[in-house]
Amino acid sequence: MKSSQSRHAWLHAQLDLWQKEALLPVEMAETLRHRYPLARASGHGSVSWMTVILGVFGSALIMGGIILLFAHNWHDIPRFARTVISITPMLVFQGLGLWIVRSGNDSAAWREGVGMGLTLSIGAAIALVAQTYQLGGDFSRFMLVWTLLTLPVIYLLRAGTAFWLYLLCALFYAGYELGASAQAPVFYLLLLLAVPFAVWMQRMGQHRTLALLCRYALALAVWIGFPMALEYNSAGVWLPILSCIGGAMILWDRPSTGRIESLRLHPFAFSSALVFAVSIMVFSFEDVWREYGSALDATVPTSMLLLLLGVLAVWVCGVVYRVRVCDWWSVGFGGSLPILGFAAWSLSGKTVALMLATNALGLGIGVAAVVVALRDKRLSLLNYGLFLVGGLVVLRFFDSDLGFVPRGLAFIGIGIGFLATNYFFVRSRRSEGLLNGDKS
Amino acid sequence: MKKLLPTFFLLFVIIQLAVPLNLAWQAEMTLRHGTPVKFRLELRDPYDPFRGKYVLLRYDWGEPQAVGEDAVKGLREVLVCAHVDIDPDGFGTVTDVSIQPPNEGLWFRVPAKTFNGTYSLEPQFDRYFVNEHEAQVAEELYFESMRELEDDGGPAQAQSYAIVRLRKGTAQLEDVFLDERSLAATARDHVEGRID
Repeated sequence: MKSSQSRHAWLHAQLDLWQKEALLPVEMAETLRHRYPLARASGHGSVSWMTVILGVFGSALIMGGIILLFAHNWHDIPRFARTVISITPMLVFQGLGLWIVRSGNDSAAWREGVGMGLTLSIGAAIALVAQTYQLGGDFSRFMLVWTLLTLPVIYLLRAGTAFWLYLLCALFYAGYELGASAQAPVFYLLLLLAVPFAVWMQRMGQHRTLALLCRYALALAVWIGFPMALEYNSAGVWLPILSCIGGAMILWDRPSTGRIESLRLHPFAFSSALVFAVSIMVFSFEDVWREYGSALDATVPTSMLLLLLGVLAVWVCGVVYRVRVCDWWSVGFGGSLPILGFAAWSLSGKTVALMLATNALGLGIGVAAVVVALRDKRLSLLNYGLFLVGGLVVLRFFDSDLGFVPRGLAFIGIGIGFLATNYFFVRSRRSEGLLNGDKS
Repeated sequence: MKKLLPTFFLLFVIIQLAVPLNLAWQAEMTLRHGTPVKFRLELRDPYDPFRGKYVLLRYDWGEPQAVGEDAVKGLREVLVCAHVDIDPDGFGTVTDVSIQPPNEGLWFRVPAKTFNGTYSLEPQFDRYFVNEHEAQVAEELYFESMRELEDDGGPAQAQSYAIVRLRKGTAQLEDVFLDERSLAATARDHVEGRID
């Protein structure tokens, strides 16, 4: 998806051309340039990273200091005064926030600094009032209230730092409520409420690094939070659910052509590919499948089934979309994960078959990645394929179910494969003069 | 849409303010108008990174039974109404619990873990926040008081109790006493050298 700024840049280049070719009068070109302006390279509206970092760090330090000062617990100050003092930092940051919103101030330093300060001051106000009135309270409820009150700060101030804190609070909530089935849907909802912000930041086109970091934070929250929320009470459905999520993220977090500039610019696909590789390695042992099978339960909670159906629908749509644009690599990669997940869920007793299928899938994807990387000259994809294959092979060193001779032969064979791949890749890139650059 | 942003922001400012202010208001009302009850307890000294030092309060309530049909089967976490009886000295005991609020008498809502009709109450007023220098002293005072009782041949239980105000199902911790003196005040006197 092209950002508005990149569209504006394209239009400006075309206007220059049309003007030069006398296709467009100068006045009309100027009018169009004013109507679709380019963001200035510096100053108002641009991200000066040092200013943003200092603003955020300053706000965080101020709020940290205030929290520590109040944590001292000043008995000499009356209750009412302590309550007023507790909410004062929040009022100050709310005032600054209102000023930003009213004036339309687009300075990232202000928005991020005030966003961070307001988020922390909300938590501090609740905690310090609770201290003043000796309210022990419920930590998970505190985290939930804090998370929900932070949500408008993210959207109204467009503050990435508040977004990260929001996700952190949601993760604390999920972690603290580990195993509480009633709270898990609340965590999913909290994540869902954060998704539009990450999409919005990406589409706005400004502050690209910040937008990328927000998507990374969201991807990280998904991969940390979901396993925590699903660990208990999921009756083994966590495997198909997580594999559907991973598959869907790989299928959707790519441009429609399937060709990507760099995997690092696609946090959801990147994180899912990493999780996929590590999971394949873990599940390449039969013991892990045996343990998974023993935790399976015939009665699956309705909420889990609903969640499974939801993520399954997103994954199926992703597969259909990729098939329509003939992106077969994505279909194979993102499509194979949930199939293995569902197979494991339904064939829990057949541990040897599952172990073999996992190894075959891992090797298949790894080799396919190497072949695609060699064809398209993509170094990061090549590294990924080699990491997957290499990881699976190295882990066999610890697999006592295999004899020494087959293991030794396999090691030698794969080692030769690695050297050959390296040789062909370097030769092919040298012939094209690409050795110091990389497409992906 | 942009013109509406300040209005939205103001709306959320009100909601954000309402949360801590409502907490304070509810607590203040219970402290002003609630019925004071003394509950016997034990003390410990942990730490909260947000709210500072506190003394953890362990109430001596035993495991009350549920009233009649309110008994819950199996292991569960529930919110119950704890019924309180007060003796002539003002000390309260939790006699039993119910899921529905009683029509009369003193009671408060409290989270509980239940196993086949027996309830282990987990009150939210289990933290007594004190000045950072006084928390450790408070705990030491408690153990010292307990040792003195043991030396005298009495039961190994210090005379510590909390005053909790109860009002319309809400419980609000007011103060903690050790040997008839406010724990915070005693600890402060020790820290400031007024008592050895």
